[in-house]
Amino acid sequence: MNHDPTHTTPEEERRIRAIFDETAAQPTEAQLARMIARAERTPAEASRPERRGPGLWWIPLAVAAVVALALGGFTLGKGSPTPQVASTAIDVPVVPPTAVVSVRVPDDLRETPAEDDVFEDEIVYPSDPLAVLDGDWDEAGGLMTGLDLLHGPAGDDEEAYWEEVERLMEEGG
Amino acid sequence: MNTDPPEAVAASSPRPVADLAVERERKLVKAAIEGDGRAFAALVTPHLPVLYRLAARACGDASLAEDAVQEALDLAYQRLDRYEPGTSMRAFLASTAIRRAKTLARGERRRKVREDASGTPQQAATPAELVGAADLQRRIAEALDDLPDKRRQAALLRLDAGLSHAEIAEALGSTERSVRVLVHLALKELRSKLADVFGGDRASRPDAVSQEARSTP
Repeated sequence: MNHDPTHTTPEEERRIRAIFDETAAQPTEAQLARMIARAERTPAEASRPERRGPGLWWIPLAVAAVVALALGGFTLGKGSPTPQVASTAIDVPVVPPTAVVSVRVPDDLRETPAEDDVFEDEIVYPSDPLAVLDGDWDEAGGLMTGLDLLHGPAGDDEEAYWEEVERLMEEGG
Repeated sequence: MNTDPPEAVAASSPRPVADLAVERERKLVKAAIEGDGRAFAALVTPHLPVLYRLAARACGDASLAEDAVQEALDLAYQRLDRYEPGTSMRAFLASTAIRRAKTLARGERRRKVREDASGTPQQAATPAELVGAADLQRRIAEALDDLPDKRRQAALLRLDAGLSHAEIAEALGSTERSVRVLVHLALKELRSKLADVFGGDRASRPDAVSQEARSTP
């Protein structure tokens, strides 16, 4: 794999952290006092009835109403009720499949020379495969872990990466 | 020469400091869950300055940052039964504070868009906004905003909260190895976008990183 020769060194991280320290906001005494006071009140406020909301008593009624609507009309009076079951389409949430991929740890990220060359990382099948092809990792929703190590603008493992994406897409299709 | 039996010696030996700290934290968590406000405050107070710092960086507004921290405390309390004493309370609180800050900032932006649309006069720039230090903070905030969400969170937790990779993994629900990658990629992008700030010596940086800027996010 081609490694980025300009990877961030510990010294560079220290320099970046120093800038963050210099530009960090600090709470005033008054703000700190208010936050502490709020923390002290939190358990009491959490147990207040109005904070707990209206409660869950309405759920069974709502479920019964939905079921009644779904089943259609009942015949009341003599005889047994004959519910008419309407066909309903139920939306089942799609659970994205996961895959375990083997990922090689780049040299500049190893903490020790003896660190495992390959580790298994569980990733979630991308919610938007097209976003993966565009390299939009955030939109892809899940390929932020193991495959990031494989993918790179100049990585010679890019072919292996795309093969892995295609395999995942076939599995999830 | 000590002639006491080994078990007596062990029983009278002082417990390691770490064990005592975990035990103390366990008692505070239990008391807080049972409704003791001072116990909850004792748990979170040491971390409030860092939470504020994180929230301020995430949303860029002092009053919003304070609101975000307070809301994060509410949410943390609701989940306190899931916290394992002896792990990192800071990690437990930090990611919640960042998320609340981003949510409040989005709401504030929508409010400002509505105000602009209605022709409401905008507030004039404050003196701090006219100073270079505020410009540096703005540039850092913009660079962070350009990062994907998880990468940004990892950067904030590393650079502002000072969490270890393991603690960040705990906060984000990820693995330590993945976090190392996220932090590495975040630092690379920040370094690239702010090369004139992070590179070279301090003399080449924009002026006026002043004390005043520290309290004005």
